[in-house]
Amino acid sequence: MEYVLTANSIYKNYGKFRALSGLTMKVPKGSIYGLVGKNGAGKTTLIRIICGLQSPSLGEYSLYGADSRSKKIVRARRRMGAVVETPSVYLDMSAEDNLKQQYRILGMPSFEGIDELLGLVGLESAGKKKAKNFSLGMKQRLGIAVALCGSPDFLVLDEPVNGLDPQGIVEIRELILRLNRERNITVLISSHILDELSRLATHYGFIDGGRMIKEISAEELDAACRKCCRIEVSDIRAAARVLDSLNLEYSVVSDAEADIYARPNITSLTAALSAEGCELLSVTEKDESLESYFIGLVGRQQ
Amino acid sequence: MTRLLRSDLCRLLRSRAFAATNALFFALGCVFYCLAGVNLSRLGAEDFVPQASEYMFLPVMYIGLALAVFCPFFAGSDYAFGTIRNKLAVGCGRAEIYLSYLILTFTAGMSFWCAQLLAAVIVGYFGTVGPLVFSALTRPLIKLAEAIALTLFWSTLSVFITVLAADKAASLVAGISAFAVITAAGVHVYAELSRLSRPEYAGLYPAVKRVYGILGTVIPSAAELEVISPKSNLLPVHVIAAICLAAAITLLGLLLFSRKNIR
Repeated sequence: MEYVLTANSIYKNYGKFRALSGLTMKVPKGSIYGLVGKNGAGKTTLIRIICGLQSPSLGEYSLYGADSRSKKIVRARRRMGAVVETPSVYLDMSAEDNLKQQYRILGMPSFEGIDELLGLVGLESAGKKKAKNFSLGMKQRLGIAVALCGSPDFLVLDEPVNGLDPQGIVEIRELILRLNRERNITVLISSHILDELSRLATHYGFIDGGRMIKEISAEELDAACRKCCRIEVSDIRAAARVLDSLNLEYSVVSDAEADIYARPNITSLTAALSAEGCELLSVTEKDESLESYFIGLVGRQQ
Repeated sequence: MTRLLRSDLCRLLRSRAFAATNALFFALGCVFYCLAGVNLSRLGAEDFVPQASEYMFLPVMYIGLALAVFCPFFAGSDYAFGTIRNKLAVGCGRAEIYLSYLILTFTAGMSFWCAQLLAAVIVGYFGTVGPLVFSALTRPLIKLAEAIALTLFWSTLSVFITVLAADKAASLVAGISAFAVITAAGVHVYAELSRLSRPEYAGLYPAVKRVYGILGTVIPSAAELEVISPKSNLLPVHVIAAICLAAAITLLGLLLFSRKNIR
């Protein structure tokens, strides 16, 4: 698999406080990589490092194969755009002027493509209105448009839906999906609105205490979060025989528990178990979400 | 570097702080040359020219204050809006960013000065003193060089404070405080030097005099007083001292900025 970004054992200290301790991650090309973590887990620190706002105390990362300590990183950065925390726009300028300003910074020969960018983020009708008069959603979309100047193929978004109303959240989600699908832009997105992230991400990185706890693809996560019924029985061997005979997909969790990946008929299941001399002690429906998966993961670490 | 300069120049030209400060300096130029008109009638043309020339060089006395206020609004707004992140994230070098601020702050300083000169020429020529204004303009080049070097010093100091404070309000307070301290030190040194050069002090305190002499050369605000004084000994060493100070501050600023954590 080709990776846009690989981080190798990154440490970041602020005085005596260690914000990142040996974080390692890989962002596959073409993915929407969701960075999941509690407040203070180190998500923003990591993003600041990737964007060149801060340097790691130890460790290195590579962007498009360019090592963070080499001069090639400057060229690699031209291929990325970023919105870190708040949208970075000149509030005393209009949306169009903000984009022109970023075009100048990038050294673009003309302002071609600005109208298309404004259309893409839905700000084509903003006209001469200054950014200070924009709603938070509009500012966020303008921030993304600024990050998209120069047609980057890697977009870093730090908490892009923070403080947005439901309508704004939907707009940003659709925009990110469109960018990923239509322009094949790899997106690294951090958020603690996990439900929202689960609608976008194709890959996840769970981060806690400055460490990467687990990296997982959306398919793997779906498998891990499958809906199931957990049964507690007095004899797990007998239960396994019954479940086999009923043709149900299941997995044995412990000496007394098994997960059934279907909705079984409880009456017939109880009868069949009883016929095998096995007692059904409890049945609980399990519907693990990204949130419960994350909490379970973090809890296990602690 | 060119792309950053181009982008920051566009921002400078549309900056309200830049326009307002230029207008203020133009207004000051008008006021001073109205005063010059009054003095011309009192002093006569012969004594008037050196004084009119002082008016031309007056901005060097307060350009430091103007830049201490202007720079946080120009360079500091990149921090306030977070737009410095856009520059760094797309691969602009920190040295490029720092030097771009410096070049444009210095350009702004020179522009303020030109605004005052322009007002002096317009009001002086068409209003109060007539063609005598051009006599006042013809001062030795070294004075002009000194004034430019001192403007460069204040630009480097303002950029140093603004970039490292990384906060508009904090850099405004720190910049004005630095200007006040340096100006007070310069005035003190200049006053002591003037006192010690009186005949009754001749031969007394030679070591003290030497120390004040060195400080008078090194402290920019003391040099400023010599720039505007018609009787001063115009020493190229002032220019060299100001340029050396500016270079030292810039090197230190570049070093610290390259290691700074940007939020």
